[in-house]
Amino acid sequence: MLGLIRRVLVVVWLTFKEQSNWTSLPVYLIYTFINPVFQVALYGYIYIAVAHLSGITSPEAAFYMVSGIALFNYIGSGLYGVIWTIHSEREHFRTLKYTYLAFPDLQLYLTSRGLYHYLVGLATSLAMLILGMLLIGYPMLGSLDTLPSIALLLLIGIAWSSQIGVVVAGLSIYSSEYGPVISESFGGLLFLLGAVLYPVSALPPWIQPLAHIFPMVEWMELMRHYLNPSYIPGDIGGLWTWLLVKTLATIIATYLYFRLVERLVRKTGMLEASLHH
Amino acid sequence: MSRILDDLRAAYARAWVRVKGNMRVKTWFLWEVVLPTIFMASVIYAYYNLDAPRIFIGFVVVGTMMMNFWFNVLWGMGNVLYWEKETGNLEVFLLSDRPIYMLLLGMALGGMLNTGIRSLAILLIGIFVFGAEFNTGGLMPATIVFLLTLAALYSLGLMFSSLHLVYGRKGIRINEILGDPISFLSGQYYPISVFPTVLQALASLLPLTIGLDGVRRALLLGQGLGDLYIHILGLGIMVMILLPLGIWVLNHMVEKGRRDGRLIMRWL
Repeated sequence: MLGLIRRVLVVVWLTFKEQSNWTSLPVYLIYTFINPVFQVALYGYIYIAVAHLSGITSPEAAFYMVSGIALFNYIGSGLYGVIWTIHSEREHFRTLKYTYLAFPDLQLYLTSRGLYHYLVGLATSLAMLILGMLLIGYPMLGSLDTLPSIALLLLIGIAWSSQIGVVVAGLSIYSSEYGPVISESFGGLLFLLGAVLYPVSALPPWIQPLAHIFPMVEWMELMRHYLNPSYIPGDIGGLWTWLLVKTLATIIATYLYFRLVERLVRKTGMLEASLHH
Repeated sequence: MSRILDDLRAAYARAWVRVKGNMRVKTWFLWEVVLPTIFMASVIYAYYNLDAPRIFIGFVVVGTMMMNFWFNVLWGMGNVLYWEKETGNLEVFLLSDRPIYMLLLGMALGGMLNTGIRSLAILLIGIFVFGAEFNTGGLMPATIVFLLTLAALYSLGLMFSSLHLVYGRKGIRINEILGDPISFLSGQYYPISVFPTVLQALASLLPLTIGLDGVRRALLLGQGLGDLYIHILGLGIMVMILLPLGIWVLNHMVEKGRRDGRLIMRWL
């Protein structure tokens, strides 16, 4: 167990160095926060623009959007961190083959690479939440009573989203041509379907069942509820049950799928097939 | 005269490679249209959810279309010299007797064509799937503003490319932080009139902001050339400043890279 923790921590440290060694720490910190801050402004202003130009106001909708974009940042940071590992190590740094030989378990390696991004995502999401609520003038949230539930949900968020990231990374290993576009599109798909800016009911009826495939909707709604207990998304117990069931299913399915992909990739020699092949 | 023709041939050759390269895998086109459309659809559904007036759909479609060009400037032009360096092509380009800015002109033209086709597809999706409505009478002034915006943006791209020549991975990070801030400041999803005055003034320094506002005014509000003269003038001045400045910075950075011995140094 200690060996496992040590391996994970080494990979988290490696990710930090890879992400930050191009500059000094203060500059890196500024760089890390720039995009999330502007992202919350970009999406927060969607509500402000409508209120400003048409006079329609809905503080609940504003809370929904801002909390959604901040929470998506957490999930998205980790997810992209996992997914992009294959592309960046194969195409940019050309180290994937060494990683494959050196680290005993590629699925664990990918998940560990994502962990650093979840940590960064947590810090930036918190900043987004605070700034976003100030921007839309929504009363500040938070209650110490809900902190344990929020912490648990953050961990569950890592569990399901990192494994979805591993699934997409598996596709990426198999196809250097489509890896990057699949990665971007998948993040976009979660953004569209995952109750980020609007509830699933705002989507056309034919697309709504797709939104319920992933644990994202339950996770987002529960997080909103614990951030702002006056927000009641429906049956809380039911949401917890579905979240846990879907998370478990995602983990098991990913494990089986990744073993299969890994075997196929080795068999067909695709591990090192970069865009230049 | 023959020198100019040779320069143009070099630009054409690089544009051809760019177009051909992007079409190498036919289905990339589909993905590259689908991806921005997903984000566009998300914002459109957010507007639906807020019961926003219909004109907002047009704001989003025009914003998404034009933002594509900005991303092409950042990643398809600015970032490209870095990748040419990493893959070993840059030294071949530098050995050629054609100026490097003609090479970048070729990349810009090829990138404009590729992005233009994708943006057209996004426009059609905006109209036929999401019901965006445009004023066809504003097509001519919108085209003029649009072309001036492209000229200003790709001139900026010349400068970004030069950063990548010298700063390597730092250049990539600079590109990364020029995504969301520019999307926000240029008013990708709404007119910047909703910003506080100071922010509006700051945002107006960006060619994309002026271009986006001009195209929206023409296509959504039906304004003509007479109404858009400030946009045209502003963009014209930007092109006149940014283009020579871009060429100068690029040449300067190539020289600096040569002097410091970093021009073709990889893994920076």
